[in-house]
Amino acid sequence: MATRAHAVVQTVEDPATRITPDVIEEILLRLPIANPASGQCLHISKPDGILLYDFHYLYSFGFHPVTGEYKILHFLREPQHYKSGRPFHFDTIQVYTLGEDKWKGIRTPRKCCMVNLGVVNVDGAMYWLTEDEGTSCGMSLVSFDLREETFTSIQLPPLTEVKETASCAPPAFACYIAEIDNTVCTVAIPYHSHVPRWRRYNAELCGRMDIWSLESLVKHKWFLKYSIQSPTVPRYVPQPCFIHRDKIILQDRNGSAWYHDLAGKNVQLEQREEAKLLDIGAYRFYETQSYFYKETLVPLSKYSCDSSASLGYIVFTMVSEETKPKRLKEEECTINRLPHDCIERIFVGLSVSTLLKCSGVCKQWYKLIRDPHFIAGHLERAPRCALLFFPQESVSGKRYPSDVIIFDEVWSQSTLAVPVIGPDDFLCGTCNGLLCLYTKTSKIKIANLATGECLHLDKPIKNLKGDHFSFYRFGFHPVTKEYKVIHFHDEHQNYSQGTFNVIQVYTFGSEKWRDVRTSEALSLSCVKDYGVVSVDGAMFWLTEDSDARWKHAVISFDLSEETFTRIQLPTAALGSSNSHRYWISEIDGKICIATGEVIRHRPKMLSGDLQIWMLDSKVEQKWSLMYNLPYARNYLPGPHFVHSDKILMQSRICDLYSYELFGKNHTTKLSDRVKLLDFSPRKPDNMQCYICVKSLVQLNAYKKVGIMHGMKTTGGLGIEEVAAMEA
Amino acid sequence: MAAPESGDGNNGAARMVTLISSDNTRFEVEAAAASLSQTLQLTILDGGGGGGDGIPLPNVDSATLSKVLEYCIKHAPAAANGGAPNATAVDRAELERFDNEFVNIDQSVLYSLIMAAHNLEIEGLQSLVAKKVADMIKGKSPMEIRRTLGFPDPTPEEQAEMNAHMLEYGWAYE
Repeated sequence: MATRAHAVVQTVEDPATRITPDVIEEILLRLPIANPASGQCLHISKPDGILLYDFHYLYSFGFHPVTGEYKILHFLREPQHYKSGRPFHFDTIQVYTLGEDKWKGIRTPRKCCMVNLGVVNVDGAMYWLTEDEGTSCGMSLVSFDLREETFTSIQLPPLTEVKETASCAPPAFACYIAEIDNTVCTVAIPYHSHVPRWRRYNAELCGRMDIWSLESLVKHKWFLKYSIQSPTVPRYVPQPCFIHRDKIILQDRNGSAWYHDLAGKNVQLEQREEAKLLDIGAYRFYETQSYFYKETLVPLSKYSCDSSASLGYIVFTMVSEETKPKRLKEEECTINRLPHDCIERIFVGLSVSTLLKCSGVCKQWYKLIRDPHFIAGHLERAPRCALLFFPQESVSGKRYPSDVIIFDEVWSQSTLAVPVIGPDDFLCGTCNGLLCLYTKTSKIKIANLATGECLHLDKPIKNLKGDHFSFYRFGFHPVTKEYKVIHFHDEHQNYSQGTFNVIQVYTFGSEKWRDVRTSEALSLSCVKDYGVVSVDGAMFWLTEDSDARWKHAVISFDLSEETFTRIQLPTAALGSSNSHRYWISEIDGKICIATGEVIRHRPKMLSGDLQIWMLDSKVEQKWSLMYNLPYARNYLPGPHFVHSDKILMQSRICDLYSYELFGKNHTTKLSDRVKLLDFSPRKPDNMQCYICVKSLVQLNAYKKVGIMHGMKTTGGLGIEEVAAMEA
Repeated sequence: MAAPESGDGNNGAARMVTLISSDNTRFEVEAAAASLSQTLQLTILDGGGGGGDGIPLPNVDSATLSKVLEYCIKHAPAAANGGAPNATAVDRAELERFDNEFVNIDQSVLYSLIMAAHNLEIEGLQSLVAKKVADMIKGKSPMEIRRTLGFPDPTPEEQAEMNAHMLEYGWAYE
């Protein structure tokens, strides 16, 4: 819902609430709830006896998604505690549930106040900042659950860092509450000391504004979402929802609103990059508020039976982000007048190559196509392809370079549109449309196979003797959104032993490899022979006991926690003879093990039935038999041999077939054999098969650490490269 | 929640609702068809739009609304079957033929339709019109896309940007 919300800037003196003599009684005693889209308006009686101390900022409005109830909150201010320039205190909240026809008083557990007058409603609870003497910054966050009607106190993140690191080093900072992307955020802005600390005005930006987002409501965990460096000109942020879809809304003193893209976490706001949103006019810029708003037809009529609520119609005037800004001539083009969401919907179904062309159409499209949110959405929908990798090899004296063939979702064959793979490169893994390539130099190459963008990083070891492409693997963690390259390493570089005791981890965006020690020496030959797959933020590979070689198990390495887990194989899958072999694979996002007898000198060639087991639960170590395939004298290419209900196998000669997998039960028939490819004269043993997607995932965010270059860039640095160098 | 108290409920004749376009034209349509719109669904479930009331749609003009309703009426039976497991191949082919013809329209109408489908949250129509524009884009160079979608001629500055883009991504132009 929030992603579809449009921004609305509503000035304090909204025409709808402008006082005229006719309605003065109405304004004084009644509180309107309105749906601007339908014009419906409901007037609620205010609580009794508050007239003297009635202010708009004492009310707030929220919704609980489970109960479906709308509630109005009134903070019952204690007049004796009123002091200008100080926050107001209260020990009672009055709550009015739409449809219930009464105000109900609820005592707060202890005396409460509100700092800087912001209340946000997220996920069925209201949040505001309160004074709290015991804490480091003298403040904490209060949440009020709209269903339970209970209060919770939440510690703030370590805001004090702001004080120490802000460049202009003012001794204090102002703290605000905001809502961004449907999470509660606290905003810390340093400010000049002559401004009172408690005030109900929008902050003037100064120094660095840190925005912390409350990630876990249960654990009260905060993380730093944005760190924004103020522009040199005076700018104010309208509370409480001043960031909309990665754009920040700023105001100047002359009554104009501006917006600015927030590309990434650390942002420097520059005046020249601002785009004008609208002229608000001569309103008091320091009192403007900004909210999320969505046009709906939510009816108010059903609440109008209350005696204290009367229904009417009013007309609102609002400005929407999409219709108002006057910018380039380009925007007069009809398609660009459509809402952002609509253009995104058109683009999300297009292929990367089409989108690359679209990004050359106009600035607006270029920005949209490079927007990380769009890229993530596009990636999610990208069809999964099969990628066959043929490493460089020589056959009867003739050298063949490394090569790739891609089968798309309808099994039509293509090669790479852009030559990212060098003739001697080896493929170590694919992830979100990126390839990890092992080169013979001291570098590992990461390349986006669809856009051609490349990144090079140094290998963790200087002595490359004994190093092998299969010791490098590539994974992604969906929660931390971090890409990591891992390297299986033996501290003594004694690879002939066939074990490793360290995993070296390189996180994109960091600048170094870190060692993660294993608790025991693990089999390196298993890694080399059976492969490694990455699923759901963890790397999985097979290992064997040093004393009982047939006792295999799976090791998983969590890419976020960087911890190891040992997962037992199902007993029925354990073979006893030397000619029993395993493959580790991924099917539909789950870890799978394939096992079967193989021919002694042809370790990928089956000589019996093939069983495929799926890991149902990593925690319970529960496996289930997914397929039991009848004997076919075939090679099974690793690691990803199952693609959307088809299994890929190759015959003794170099013919690659796909077989339809008929039913997921204990005896699966192989049916409908389709020949995909004859890849002779390549050797039958070396081909690898991966799942891949074509994505727009960008590597330039990581360019600080690697050496960046686009494949065909000949015209020098792009705008962004130059900007990054200046920064 | 109070149950809708519409007298014409479930017996016999299908329940009708009235929609009012921005230019004040009234459209009477079966509730099932109008309910393809997520936006309207809630109101209709609540019993709104019946009788003399009507649901005002201040963002949709009558020309666009009649086009939207044409789509909804055609698709309502299939949607009522919940993705139509028992729909025959003939029915599906018929819907497909209808869809193809339905979007074979002037670009300005297409854009109004996109806006309306977006505001009313009609999932099927949103996908259909988005796909139509996507098809207009596919296989074209940036310049051809600009011409197809009626962009003004590029300014010298834009032309320079397009040339730079071509240098970098020319390989993707085929």
